[in-house]
Amino acid sequence: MTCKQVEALIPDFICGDLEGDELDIVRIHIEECSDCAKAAELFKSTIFLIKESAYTPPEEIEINVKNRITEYNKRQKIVRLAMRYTAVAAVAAIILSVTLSRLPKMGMKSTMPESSKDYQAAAEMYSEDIDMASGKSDDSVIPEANQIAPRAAMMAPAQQAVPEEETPTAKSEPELAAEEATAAEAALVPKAAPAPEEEAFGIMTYGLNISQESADEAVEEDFSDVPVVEYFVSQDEGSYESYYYSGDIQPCALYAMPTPVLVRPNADGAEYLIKNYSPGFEGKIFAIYTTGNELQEDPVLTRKFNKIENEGFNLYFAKNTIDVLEAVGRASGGNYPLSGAESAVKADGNMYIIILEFFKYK
Amino acid sequence: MNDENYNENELVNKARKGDGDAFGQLMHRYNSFIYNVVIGLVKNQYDAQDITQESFFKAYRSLGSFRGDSKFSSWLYRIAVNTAKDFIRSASRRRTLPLEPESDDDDLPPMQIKDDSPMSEPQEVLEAEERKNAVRKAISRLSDNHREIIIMRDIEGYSYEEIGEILNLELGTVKSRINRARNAVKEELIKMKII
Repeated sequence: MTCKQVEALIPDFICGDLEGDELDIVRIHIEECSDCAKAAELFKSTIFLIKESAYTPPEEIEINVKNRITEYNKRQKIVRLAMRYTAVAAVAAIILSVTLSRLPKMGMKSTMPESSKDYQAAAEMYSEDIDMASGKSDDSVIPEANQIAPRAAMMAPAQQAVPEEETPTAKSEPELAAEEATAAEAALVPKAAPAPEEEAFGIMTYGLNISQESADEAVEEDFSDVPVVEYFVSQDEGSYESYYYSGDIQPCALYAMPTPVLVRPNADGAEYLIKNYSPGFEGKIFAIYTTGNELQEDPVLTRKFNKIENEGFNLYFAKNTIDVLEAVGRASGGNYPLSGAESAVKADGNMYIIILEFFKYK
Repeated sequence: MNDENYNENELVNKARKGDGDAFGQLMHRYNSFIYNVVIGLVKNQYDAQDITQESFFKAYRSLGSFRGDSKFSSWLYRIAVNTAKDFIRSASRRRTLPLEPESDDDDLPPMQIKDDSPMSEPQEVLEAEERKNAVRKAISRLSDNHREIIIMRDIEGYSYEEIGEILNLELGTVKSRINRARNAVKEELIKMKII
């Protein structure tokens, strides 16, 4: 064996990874060759020094993390209880949607101009969504049969919310199916629909400011990689408190906003909530949060968003801004302009994850 | 599946169900690894402590999304590296011009002199600490790729196969990268007259 060959095997020799004849050959060579012996000694010293240079982690790390986990587990229990206690977000979102759709019947009007291009765009989108939900197009994304009903229940009222002059005179098959589904949904959630006018709803809005770059990474990878930079929560009417926060999402929101804001369950109320309690609606909306309730399985979200399952909740990351805005438009009953938001997102490199959680409140 | 993997999967499953003690065992197993990787990236022990804690907590909170397609160590490592890189990115945005020119030594954390050192002479202890610091500096000058592989192999003692799995590299690439990294450290140490 030449010196060059031995030199290549020195790391394995020193680390004890050689055996048999190879071990003997290298050992004997090193005993007889001073250059290789020196190289072996140098390697041994290097490895020793590297090992010696290791940092010992401070004991506080494990202690602090354990304490934080204990605290987190406690809060998670509270969150689960809170979730159980409140009417879950999906149900309330449906209620709100249903309520919005019945505005004409209730003699209320939206504050948005009926001729708004955005309004029309949103209405067209909803029509398309109904087609999707009723199986008219793209079989690959049609959800399970038992998921269609709740979805259609959400969509049908949105279609009805289109101003009267734009409402088609004849009802298409998807619309009829959607109406039937509305009835089925009402039967499924008897306490939820129809909502009495005097009943109030609370809304919790909270969000995370993340960079576009991080958001892209998050879409490609998983939620664990989303760096949380800023956390804000709505607390009092018209004001926000900002926190630097890099931890949980939902427990803190529940803690930070113990008293929901009360609004009327109508379009003005919804507009008030979204405008005043969703600063991100000005154009920094990136993803919609839902709790892990089966009623919230939304085929459109499932189709257009990357769904991230997490313990106790699902997070939907949009593939692009438009999808997010469409979803927000849908959640708001089609009453909100979308184009301004899009340009704002383009102007600002950052986006926000906005979390809207509707729940029934008395 | 060997015993260690089985135990690890068991611990992960328990931790996923909210068992803090199970997660504590996982944390104990990987604490040194994660801390050394992170300190290599951020070069500051206080930041490294915060980031290591944050990484473990993030991992605990996100266990629901860990599907077990990769090893837990690999997943944890990725969380820690991403957390550290995010920290570096945001720190660089916040950074303002220093009042004084930065010294070459500033980035390295001060040594903690242990009382239980086998050496009795203070001078010897001091020399050993100085040597250790110099080696750390040599390692800190390596590229990220070389530094992480040195930490995994020579400090934490991971096998080539484990390193390949964590870094998603072929075995041959792992070996050649380790050799290049060691040679780079050796050259630095010779230059610094440590060896």
